[in-house]
Amino acid sequence: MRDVIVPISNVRRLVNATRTSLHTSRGTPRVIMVTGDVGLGKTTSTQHVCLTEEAIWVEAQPDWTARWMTADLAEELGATRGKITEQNHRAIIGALRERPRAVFIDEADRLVKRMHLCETLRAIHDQSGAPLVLIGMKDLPRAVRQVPQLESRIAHWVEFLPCDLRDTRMMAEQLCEIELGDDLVREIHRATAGSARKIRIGLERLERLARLRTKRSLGLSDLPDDFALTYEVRSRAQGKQAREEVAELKNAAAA
Amino acid sequence: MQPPHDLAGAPSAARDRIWKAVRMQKRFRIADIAQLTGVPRRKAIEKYLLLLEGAGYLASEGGRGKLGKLYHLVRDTGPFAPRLGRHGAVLDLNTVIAEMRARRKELLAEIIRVEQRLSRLGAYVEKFSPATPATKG
Repeated sequence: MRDVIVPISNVRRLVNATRTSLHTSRGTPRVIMVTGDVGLGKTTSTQHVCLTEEAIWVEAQPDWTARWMTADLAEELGATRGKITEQNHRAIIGALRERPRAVFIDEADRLVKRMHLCETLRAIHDQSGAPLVLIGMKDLPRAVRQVPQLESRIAHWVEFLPCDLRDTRMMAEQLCEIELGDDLVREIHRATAGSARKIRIGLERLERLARLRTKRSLGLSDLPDDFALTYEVRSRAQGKQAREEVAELKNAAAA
Repeated sequence: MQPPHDLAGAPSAARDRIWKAVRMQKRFRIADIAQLTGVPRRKAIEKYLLLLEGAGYLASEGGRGKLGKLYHLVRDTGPFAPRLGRHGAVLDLNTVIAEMRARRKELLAEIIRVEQRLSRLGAYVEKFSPATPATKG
């Protein structure tokens, strides 16, 4: 398995949106919203963008208050963690004016439940001109719509969609160190339903299988019958049956 | 004896990025950091993680397997990447800045105490007002 970020369509859209937004002139609203279900590669790709750009990364906490949030932001920008919201707010604006950076907020769903925090963030965004990237799950757009001041400032909305067949093929080519037949790539796409995380797990398993059999390429016909590309959800009865079979085998071996 | 700070090496963009990734992930393997940061040389990442572990910032478990060690971030001092060099030289701007801020606070308190003592003796003292740092805007 190679350690690269594969530029599948989701990642390309995210990079385009953030690049254009981070490098446009100040004054235009620069809030970016990133949404999507779990396992579509949302966190990994936004973290990658955050690392390669001038940006800070803050995770929203479930019990965030205005003071706590501004203290976290100030600390991350290299200023003192103040005791009063006013101090922290001034420190944040000062640090961002001195050296402009984008602010990434992970788990942003937690934040939208608290209207006053959105208001604080909007003020920071307006006064410093720093781009703001909100990362959340599917509930985020609905929640943001309830805060019109924030909604009107959204410049880009990147929604992570399940991988299509072309994305799956790209991941197989760039991540996997063995060659996979086209029928097998189709099977991966079908079995994983386009979840980037599951595709990665599947590719890892296929690599292991190829290594065991000392093969450089695999096709659909090479797979054993009981081979699972993703994890299986086993019912309780099936699990019990499997455990009994293992116990029997052990007994037979002991006898 | 603590080795001099000069041995801690110059700041490095790659190490800044690795430290940022380490703070984001909190629990990770080398492969995760290599993927996220896009730092091309695996050796450079390995070396910095080893130095961080030696200096007590990271703890690790496992390491015999193909996946490599699983690291945990145990001491998160702040956003600036610790500069680590040969012979255990450490220059962590986060702690240096925190110490200097604490010292500034002490000195300000000391000045106020002296002023009070002087005014009790009947001397005329102009009130001292410290300049605000640039970051306070």
